[in-house]
Amino acid sequence: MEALIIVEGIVILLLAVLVAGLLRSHAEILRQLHALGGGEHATAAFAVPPRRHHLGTAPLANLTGPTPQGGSASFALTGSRGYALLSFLSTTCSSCRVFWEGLDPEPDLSGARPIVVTKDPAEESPADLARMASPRVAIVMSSDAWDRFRVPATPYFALIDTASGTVVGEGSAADWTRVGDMIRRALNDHTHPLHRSTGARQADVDQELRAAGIEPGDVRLYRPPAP
Amino acid sequence: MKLEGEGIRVDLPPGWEGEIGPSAPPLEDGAVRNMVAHFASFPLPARRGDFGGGAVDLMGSSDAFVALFEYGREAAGTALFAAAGAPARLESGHFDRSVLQRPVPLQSAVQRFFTATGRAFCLYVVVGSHVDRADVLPAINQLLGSLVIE
Repeated sequence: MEALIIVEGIVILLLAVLVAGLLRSHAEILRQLHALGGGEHATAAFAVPPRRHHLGTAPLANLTGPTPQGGSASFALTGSRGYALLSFLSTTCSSCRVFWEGLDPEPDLSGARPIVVTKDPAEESPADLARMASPRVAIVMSSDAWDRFRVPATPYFALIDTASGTVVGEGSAADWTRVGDMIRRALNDHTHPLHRSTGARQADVDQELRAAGIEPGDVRLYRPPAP
Repeated sequence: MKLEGEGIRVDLPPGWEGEIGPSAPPLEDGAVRNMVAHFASFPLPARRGDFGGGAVDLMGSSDAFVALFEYGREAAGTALFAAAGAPARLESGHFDRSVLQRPVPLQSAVQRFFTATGRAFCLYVVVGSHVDRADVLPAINQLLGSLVIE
């Protein structure tokens, strides 16, 4: 009888530890979702500022997939020019609604081209997309892109320098105005001299010299500086 | 980078992008809008005309735009579409400023009508600079060389 009570006590203790662990795990998930701006309580401020640890080469040279209209499209993420804002949205995410509604007129994105990326037709409704999309903004359906960019939650944004194929900013936000802020900050960082390579800075110098009419080999380059 | 749809398949040269639009059912007036595909060496705007209106205005001097427009099947094999198969290669001499759908300074274009696998097409290629067209021709020919119509 005594042994039975001891065993029962141990089982109750283990169950208590298990329940406590589950509650803690659940709380952690809720906290992270809230921090990403998901759910019904997203704040008007940046939920997640542009992250640094994933910045680098874009994981895809081209973003390719079907379109909601039944066609297929491929967008160059490297070897092109300008900036592309990949906007990972879903038709079922309540936090995304403000972004779908804000596509027309096109939001101020400092010249970056918005490309909405949804999951594949098997996971997203092309009919809903066709209804919610704006003809002003390109849409491509690619779950592969979600995986490659490791999208943690919706809405999520990645700003790509499509000339060099680098991710220059990524994060989440509550509305297009905040996304515009994110883009301006990311572009300022990206073009800051501290973030430019030696080669890029040399190219800047060459360009300025050429603009001043000084070509390679110009004798003025070898004159000693004026006293 | 492979792009395919509507029985069209191409390999996009590096830095190029494209969209193959779907065939649509006949309109109420009986007009048929078949497949149209666009390929470009520059970022394509979301809104553009079938023959590049709204896109060609954004071209730089080293850019190219390619449109492949499909007409109704009844046009296949008719006099205008008598040529068999898509051109696999273009030459500098094929480009002409007068071929442009809408004149844009510096640009020139090529237009070819043909029939492939019982489908009637117009291929329309624009270069951003007629003078420098030889620079972008290799990429155009790489694209055309990879084009498969089923």
